[in-house]
Amino acid sequence: MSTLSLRCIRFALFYLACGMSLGVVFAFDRATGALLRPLHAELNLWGWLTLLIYGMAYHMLPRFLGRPLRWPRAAAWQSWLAIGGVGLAALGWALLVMEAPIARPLMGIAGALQLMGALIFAGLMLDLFIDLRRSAR
Amino acid sequence: MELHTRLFVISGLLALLGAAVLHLLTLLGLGGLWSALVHLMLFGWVSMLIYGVSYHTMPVFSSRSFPWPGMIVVHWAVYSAGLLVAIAGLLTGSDRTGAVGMVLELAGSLLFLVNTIALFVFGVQRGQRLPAGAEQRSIDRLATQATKLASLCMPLSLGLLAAAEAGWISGAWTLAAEHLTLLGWIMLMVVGVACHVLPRWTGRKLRGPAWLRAQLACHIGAMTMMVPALGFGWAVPFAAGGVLMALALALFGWTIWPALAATRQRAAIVFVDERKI
Repeated sequence: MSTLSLRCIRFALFYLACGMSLGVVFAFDRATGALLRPLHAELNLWGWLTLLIYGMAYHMLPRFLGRPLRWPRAAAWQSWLAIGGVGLAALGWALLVMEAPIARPLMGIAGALQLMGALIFAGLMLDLFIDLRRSAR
Repeated sequence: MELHTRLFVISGLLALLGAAVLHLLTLLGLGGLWSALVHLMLFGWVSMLIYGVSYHTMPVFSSRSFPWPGMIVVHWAVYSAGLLVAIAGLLTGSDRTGAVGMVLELAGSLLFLVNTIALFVFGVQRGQRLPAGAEQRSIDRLATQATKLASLCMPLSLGLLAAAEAGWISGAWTLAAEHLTLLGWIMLMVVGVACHVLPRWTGRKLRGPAWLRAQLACHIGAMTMMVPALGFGWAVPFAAGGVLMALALALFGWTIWPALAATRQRAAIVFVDERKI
């Protein structure tokens, strides 16, 4: 398995551990749970699930389709955009609860990073599916 | 790769892009998008990918072919229509539209069950099963139980969501259904598929089947505590379930870690016959 896939899967497991730990805290402290529910969802949906799918897809889809990624360096950048985006968004949600003025701008940057990551990922995968190189030949 | 797998994966990618836009707007402070965002993530992006990968890998692992491939395209069409209608309902605040969409999604998830059962009952055998040692065969059996249970969790959670959206049951069941989707449908599927594929992709064994058995016992026990507890508002069973689920996920990490930790990048990508993946 490539460094790219392993990086996504390892960070996915890290964010899962953070998201699950928060979930366990919420089980004992419902008031905190109500406040930090978006952070819990961010870590589980964008941190755990999405990064896990990125990692698995980078491994599986080129093999299922029988051709490598056209831009592996873009995929490496994409993984860091996604990983960093989740970290910044999580920090933003935590700062928002503390009413820090920097929270919203930080969250906006995080959302933009994740959107860019999603666009690059979709582009890389659609390129595999459509395979313009083969069509041109 | 078959047409139906492509349809599901491309639909999943479109759902990801839609969800990323809703996510950005939510992070910028726009309200009223949360339910649609969570639904699009769980039932669009993640579920479409699971369906696509399952339809690709199930024939490989069972060494059978789907008897009615057209039914898979029907599944995709019904489920995609349901997803679009459900998201429209959630975005516009129309409970009836949302419920109709979720019923269509439920019908789609039942078609997945039909197609899966049809594969094992009526599917044409096509050669030998994938080779595996005794320990891996035992792990495969447990992993198959996990994926079967996952497939049952999906229609159950959509039924709960549709009932909550239609006002037949308390709104607290929406959160319960979302947890059933994440912990039942998605997580059990991840556990099952990971235990099938990781040893074969990496060439490294997982820890023994006893660890996986313990993981599944904790996972299923936690789900049966957490989901009703969220729906009925029971604090103590929810807390106990949360601790048990944390243990289950730690056991999952422990079980698969030898396969993840021991591998290093190869010099070049290696392709294998997809029938052997």
